[in-house]
Formats: sequence, C-alpha cells, structure tokens
Amino acid sequence: MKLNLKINSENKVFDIDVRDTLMDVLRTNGYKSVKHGCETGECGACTVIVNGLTVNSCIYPAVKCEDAELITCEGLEKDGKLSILQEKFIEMGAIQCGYCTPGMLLSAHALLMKNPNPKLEDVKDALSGNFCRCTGYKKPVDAVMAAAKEMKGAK
Amino acid sequence: MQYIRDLKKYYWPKGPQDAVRMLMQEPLAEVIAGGTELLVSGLKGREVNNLVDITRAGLSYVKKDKKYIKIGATTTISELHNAPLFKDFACSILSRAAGKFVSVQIRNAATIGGNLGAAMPSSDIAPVLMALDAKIHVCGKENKEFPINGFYISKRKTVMAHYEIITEIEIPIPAENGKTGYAFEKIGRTEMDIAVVNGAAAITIDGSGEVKNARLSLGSVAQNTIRCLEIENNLLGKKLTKEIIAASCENIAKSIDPKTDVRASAKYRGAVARVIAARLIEEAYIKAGGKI
Repeated sequence: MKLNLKINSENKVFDIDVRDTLMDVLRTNGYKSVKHGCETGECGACTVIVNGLTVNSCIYPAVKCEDAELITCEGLEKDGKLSILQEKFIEMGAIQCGYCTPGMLLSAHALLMKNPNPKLEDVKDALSGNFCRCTGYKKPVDAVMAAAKEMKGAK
Repeated sequence: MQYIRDLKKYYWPKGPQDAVRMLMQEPLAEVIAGGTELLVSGLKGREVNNLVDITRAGLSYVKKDKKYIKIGATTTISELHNAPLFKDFACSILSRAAGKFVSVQIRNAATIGGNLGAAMPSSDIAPVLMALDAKIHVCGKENKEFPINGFYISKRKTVMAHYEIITEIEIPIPAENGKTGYAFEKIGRTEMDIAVVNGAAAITIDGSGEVKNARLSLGSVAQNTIRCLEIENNLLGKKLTKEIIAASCENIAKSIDPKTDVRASAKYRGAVARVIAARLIEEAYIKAGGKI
C-alpha cells in the first residue's frame, strides 16, 4: 500500500506493508537518524515528531501517518547549518556514544516549539522518555536550557 | 519488525457505530487507539487479521456542562495533562496522574479509553477515575454505561464484549454542599516506571469536619484497580485524626490481594498500600478543609 506524508517539509510517497512500524519505514527509506533501540516504546531512541508531537516510532503503526507532517533529526539542520540546539549539544559535550542523541534532540525540539521559555523541570520532563545508557543526563538538560536562552536572544 | 504478523487490513471507522460494525463483521478484528499497549504486549499469542483504529472516529474531546465533565475515549494522556479544565478540577488529580504517566512520547499516543480498556492493574488513570466516581460509556449493539468500579473482571479483562468499544468517560461535578478534597499518589521504582502501588482519594466533609462521603482506590495491589469500601466505611461520620486514619487502614490486607513481580514483592506492596492509603485519606481530608 502507498503512504503519503510530509517529512522535513518534503512530500513523500512510500510503498509500505500494513504491518510496518513507522521506525522501519523511516529507516528503510534512509532516515537513519531514527535509531532502533528497545522495540517496546521505552528507550526513546526511535523518537520522531508527528504533527508537532513526539512519538516512539517503534510502536507506532506507519499507516497512522497518512497525510501527517513528520520531523526527524535530518530536518533540524537548515541549508547545511546545524540548529542552535544541535550546536549547543556539541558545545556543551551533551553527547557520549551518540545513539540516544537524535531522539533527545527531537524531544527537546518539540518542547521548544511549544514552550520557548522552559523551566528546568519542563526540560527534564521532556527528556524523561529518552534513555542515555552512557548515563549522561545533566549535559543534555543544560544544553537545552542554553539553546532556549540563545534562541530567545536571537529573536 | 512487523508488529502483528497476521495483520491484513487496517480500518478507519468514521464513528463509534461504524467501528462496532467492523468489529462484529470482521473475524479476528481488534480495536486500536494509540497502540502503546497493543503493539507492546496486548496481542501476545492471539491471531489478529484486522485492526480497527478509532482515533479518527470523533472521540477526542473534553467537554463540560453543569453536571458532568465528558472525556472522549481517544483523548490522549497528553491532552488530559494539558487541558486547563483539569488543572483546576478536583485538586488537579487527573492532570497530575496524567503527568506521571510514563514519558512524553507515550502520553502523546496513549489514550484514556485505551488505558481503561487494557485493564492493567497498574493504570494511573483508573484509581483517579474511581475517586472521581466516573462512569464509562460503551458502544456495542446498544449503548451502555458502567460505573468504573464495576467495569473490571480480572487482569486484562473488562465487562465489555469483544466488539464493544469505550466511547466516553463521564465525571460528575460534585454539588457545592459540603467540601470535597482529593489526593493522588504513585510509588514507583523510578519516576517514569509503572506503579508499584498507586491510589487516589476523594473525601467530602461537612461544616464540623465530619466525613460525609469517602472514596479510596488503590492500584497494583490486586487483579485490577480496586475501591477500598471497608476503609471508606470506617471513615464515615468521623472527624479524622492521624490515629483514626491509621486504625481505619489497619486491616487493609483484607481488601487487597497483591502479587509479586519484577517490580516488588507482594509483602512490600501490602506494606506500602497501608501507608499510601493513610496518606491519601489525610491529604484529601486536609484539602477538603479538615483539620488534623
């Protein structure tokens, strides 16, 4: 069956099986930032933004995305330039092995789209569904807070 | 990864009756909403050829009239958490319980109807709805309604037939005579883990501080979320003190049937249940305006 959707502002049509998860459809079509982790909606490595809201794509039927607008980590950079959020993750060392990073970036991005002025608790809550098994949580939280501050200054 | 090996067709009913008709017509059909339970563990060992997705069936809403708050079955946990209505209603226990619900990603997909229909004893939503004395509206061959306290049969099993779906949750708005206080509590291994024990309480007192009405519910201590009717009765007509509350919860072991699993032992759950019950009663009583 055909699946029509918009990913990172581009219209796409994918040929899918009704049994495919969103994670599989995205990865087999080249969106490799979507990581295959726990397959049970716990670790958040497969996080994508669907119509403005983060979901775990490993437990999300792809058919649910007909006509949806998606953002993956590939969509955060614009014209070859990383987003402020991505720059802050690098600058502040908020990455260790990197496997959880795309999911964390998207959770943070979704938060900042809705709430450009988050409190520390808001950031912690927004990242609570993204497990880092290198156990680095403080630096990602700090990076999101720093990005929020810089984005506000840029406006 | 194919999430259901035998799946052949995926249906999008336009309304609840449409969904019921599909569920009755198609052999091996199952209803799906957010899918966060179904895709992870809800279909173990069952053959399913058809999924009926009710998230575009007009059942996502929160409405309020003079007597009731009505929540559509496919309203997501995030929508409950963020609805301004629930920030102020009933000491915000529904909003808080929704905010404690696993992670943002799960809250964005999981629905209130799905959570109730999954009939897991650890639901954070069910104890709150029991304290709020909610009714569950069900669509099948005819429309039915059940008090949430009579909705569950056993773990993963409700009174609903296979082809019936939850359409709406109805919460009565308490009358102004008497003051009612509410409390919600969840104990888990970590902040986002499912509950080891959870619970909620609603206590109404009169001007003198006597308890006129009490509802206490606990989760993860039996096959399903339960009301603790014996403890509730112990409180009626009394002005509460710490001693009275402790005495009321003394025999809680008779009301619960905790099990041992990876998260906690039955013994630990029993011990925690007694503490949680007492805490919930005390908090709800104080929120109602009672002095302890």
